[in-house]
Amino acid sequence: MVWCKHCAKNVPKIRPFDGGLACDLCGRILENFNFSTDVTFVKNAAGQVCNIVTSVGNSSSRDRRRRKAIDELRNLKDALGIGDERDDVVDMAAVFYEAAMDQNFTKGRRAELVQSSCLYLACSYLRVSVYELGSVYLQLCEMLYLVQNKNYEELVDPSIFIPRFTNSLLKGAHAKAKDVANTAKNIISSMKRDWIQTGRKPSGICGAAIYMAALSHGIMYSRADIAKVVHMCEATITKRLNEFANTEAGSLTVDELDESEEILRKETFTPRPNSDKGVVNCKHKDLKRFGYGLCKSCHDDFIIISGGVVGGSDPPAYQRAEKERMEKAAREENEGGIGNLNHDEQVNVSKRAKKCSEKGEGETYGGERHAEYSDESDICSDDDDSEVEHVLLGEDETRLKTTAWNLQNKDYLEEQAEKEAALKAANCPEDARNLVEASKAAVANSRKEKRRKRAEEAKNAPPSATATEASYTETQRVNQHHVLDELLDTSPTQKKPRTETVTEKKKEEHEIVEDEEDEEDYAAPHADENFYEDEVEEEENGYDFGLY
Amino acid sequence: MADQGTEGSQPVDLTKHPSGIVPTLQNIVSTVNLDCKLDLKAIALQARNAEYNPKRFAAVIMRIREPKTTALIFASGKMVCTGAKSEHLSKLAARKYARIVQKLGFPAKFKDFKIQNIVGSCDVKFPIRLEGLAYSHSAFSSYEPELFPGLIYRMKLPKIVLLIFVSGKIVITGAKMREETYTAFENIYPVLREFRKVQQ
Repeated sequence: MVWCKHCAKNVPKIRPFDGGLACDLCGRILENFNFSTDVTFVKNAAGQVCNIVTSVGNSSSRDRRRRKAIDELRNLKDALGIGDERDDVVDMAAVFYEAAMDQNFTKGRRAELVQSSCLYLACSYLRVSVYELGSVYLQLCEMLYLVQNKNYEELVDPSIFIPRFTNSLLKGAHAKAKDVANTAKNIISSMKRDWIQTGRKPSGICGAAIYMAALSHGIMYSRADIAKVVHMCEATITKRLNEFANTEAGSLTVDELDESEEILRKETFTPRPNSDKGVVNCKHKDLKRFGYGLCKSCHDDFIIISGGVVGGSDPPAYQRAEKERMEKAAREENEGGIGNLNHDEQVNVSKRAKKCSEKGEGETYGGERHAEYSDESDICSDDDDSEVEHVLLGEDETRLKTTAWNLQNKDYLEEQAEKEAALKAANCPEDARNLVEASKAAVANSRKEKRRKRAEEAKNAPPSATATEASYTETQRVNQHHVLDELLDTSPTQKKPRTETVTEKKKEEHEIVEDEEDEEDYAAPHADENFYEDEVEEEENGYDFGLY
Repeated sequence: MADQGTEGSQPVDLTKHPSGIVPTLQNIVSTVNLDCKLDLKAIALQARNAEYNPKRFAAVIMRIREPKTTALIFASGKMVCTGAKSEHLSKLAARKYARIVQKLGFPAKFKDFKIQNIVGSCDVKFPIRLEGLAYSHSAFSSYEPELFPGLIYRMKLPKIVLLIFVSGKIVITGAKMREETYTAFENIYPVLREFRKVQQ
């Protein structure tokens, strides 16, 4: 029997293939090494005989730590509920962990913390959805709460960020770090009591408090510096500062604030008389209730974390809502002043409101009525009103809308046409033959064009006078061919838009016929080219004979 | 607005609403089966108030002004109607959409009308300390100010989700009947009063 962390109890052990020690219940690797139990005797230099313990399946310490870390990361992934198919997250986290080991980052730190950070980094790096991350975060809090019975409500307390943020900011001014932290703590307590904290991000609250505390102790930081450390926008920090300035505590000096906080912290609290008696709502059901339906420890934690419900300014969101209500009431009073002129309109409005409320409240959809309605198959014509009548478009309007719709959904229509063409090509071998013939014709055309180009180059080479005349004549003929080619090239361009229509098949067949015609046209110039080449050769021979 | 109108027009039924506050229904989602295959392109091109972009979403989006609602009409004949403020208006709107589809030449029927979701809202008009609510009802509450400024309360009976904000505004969602919304609010109201702000 050995202790298994995961099962949290003694379990029977198993050692498959003389490898690592494993738990027989959950399969978790408990030991990555195996020492041989055979007795071995070796004689040393002095001639004495001694016993040596040897390791089986030895591997380096680094590899063992890496393997163990991968197992831990996979356990974390499964416990957090990240998808079963997301092994890439574990692989990425393992890469981060190995890099951390290279930098000796794991020395002096808890392995669990480093592994969790690597997994978090991998999730961020692989762009796991932030809401998925939030869900993981909530599940993590719930798991920790259920397993270790800790108060994870404390995570909403901005005070937990003070040490981290002050250490990041005040690297070169350690002497005042404690004073800044204490002042920030008092400012946060005041913010809690004035309902600035509830519903706000704890890091934003903490950032604003540290900013004020640092300034009050003569350490000059800009809001940009604070924003960078707490990962909040400058505008948010400015809002928190303005909200704090509107409270009574905002006008106190640092010493006065410290004194008032000490006084308020010592005040005793009396339970509210109108609470439910004898009922404990928090998870400690067996304890005696103290206040707000909580036991004493939960009640004290609640007061510390939230600042209680007694006193303080109204929360900013509530103030805004109250202002809106007052403005609305004032507006209604003004409208009442003009009521004589608009009396009839108001009466009509109130009548409509009554009718709507009566209709709404009078309706009840129980099972029986639902059954009745589900059987209804006809729709009474009484429901027709002017809007239903005018919904239908006329012929002209329909035509215009069709044109606009086709333009907007051009890509979609092309995709649909291509899909249909692909299906038909696969189903009909005749179309495939036509395509093959068309491609062959295209290849033949390209070859003929190459021959023509070579012939043109040969014609331009000879410099003789008579040859020049011959080439001039040929150039004229070639120009005519170019004109013909241009005409032939433009016609396919003009035809392309039509292929988008439903008669795509017919157009394709027509193109094939025209390709054949092009072949016939190309045969004649070829013969002419051969005839002229012979003349050029004869003249060249005569020229050579003359020189000699 | 309707809430104040209701209070002004007639007194609140305290037997039904002991808190004196009646949640206002803000949105109702309902479904209906027209029971015939539809040509969405034809519908979109012949109706004035319809839009259809098959690359973006495989349904026609149609709107009417009275009651002000939006409908999603699918090729299978299923329709979703959203935006109504009461059950009666939701059904009336669905029937109007069905009538429009009939006028376009399809043999549409009106089968299996059902309310799928009701969203309500109200204002208790006092600040609420959300941390206390999270403490005393931790089994049902989820309060993570890093993720969302309100407290998410998942009530078991009736099975309703409430969003509770520090300003005193409450959103109630997930109901399939109006009474569920009212019951959920009456259940949560005493707890909200427990953690309301008290002037010193």
